[in-house]
Amino acid sequence: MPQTKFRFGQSVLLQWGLSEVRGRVQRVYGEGSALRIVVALDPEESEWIVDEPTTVAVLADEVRLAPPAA
Amino acid sequence: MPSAALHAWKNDSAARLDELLKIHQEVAGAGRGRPWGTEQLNRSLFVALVAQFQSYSVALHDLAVDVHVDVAPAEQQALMRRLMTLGRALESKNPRTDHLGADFSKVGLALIKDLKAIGPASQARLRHLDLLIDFRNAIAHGNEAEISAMALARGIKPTKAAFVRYRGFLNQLAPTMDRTVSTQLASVLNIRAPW
Repeated sequence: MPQTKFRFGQSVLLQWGLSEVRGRVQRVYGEGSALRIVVALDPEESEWIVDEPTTVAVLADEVRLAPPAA
Repeated sequence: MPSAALHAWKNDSAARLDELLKIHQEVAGAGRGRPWGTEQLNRSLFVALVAQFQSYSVALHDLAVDVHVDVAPAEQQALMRRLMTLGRALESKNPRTDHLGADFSKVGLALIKDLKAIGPASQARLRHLDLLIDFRNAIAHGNEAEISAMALARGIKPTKAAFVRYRGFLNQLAPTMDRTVSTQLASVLNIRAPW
């Protein structure tokens, strides 16, 4: 199990062009500079960047934990 | 030189499968002729084998994405990584030939077509991969009728010997995939072979 601050189900933000997209951590794998996060994207939560639930795999340093909703 | 994905398949994945085999040996003994009382353990070997091959396939796809990203303009790199991994079938589905083909098409490769073009042995390994995954699915879904039918009609049974045989097919397929992806990436991107 990789040592990381990311945990299953956490809300995260990832850059998408000029915007940030919100998703949830689905899987964490790899290690070091190749530590990767599979982020689950949902149409509504991602503000319709995707049109159906899907995933994207990104490097861990390209993701940040989302601040709690106001 | 093998990729990091193949290195992990040959070492990390092999160690995990060997760990299960060791338990099998402790339960059943090393020799042949004690097939009773180990069927569920045998079945778990097939599930683990496919899981490890799925990890290898994902890792190889990640490396192919990395190669594309490395030669892309800095401004495009993050977006390219997202688009090439968006909806990747291997995140949620087995590494069947159709899912491998669809995912590697996103990095510009016709992986299955290229593997089939290598020759009859490579084609046979792909057929064995799909058969193995069908069998794994029957096991994972508790489909006893399908497990029996596959044993009768397609000759795959939940035995240690069959596990060893199919593991051997994957041990042959993995390096072929590794070389094919490297060669094709070099050709598509006009670069030296990345591994």
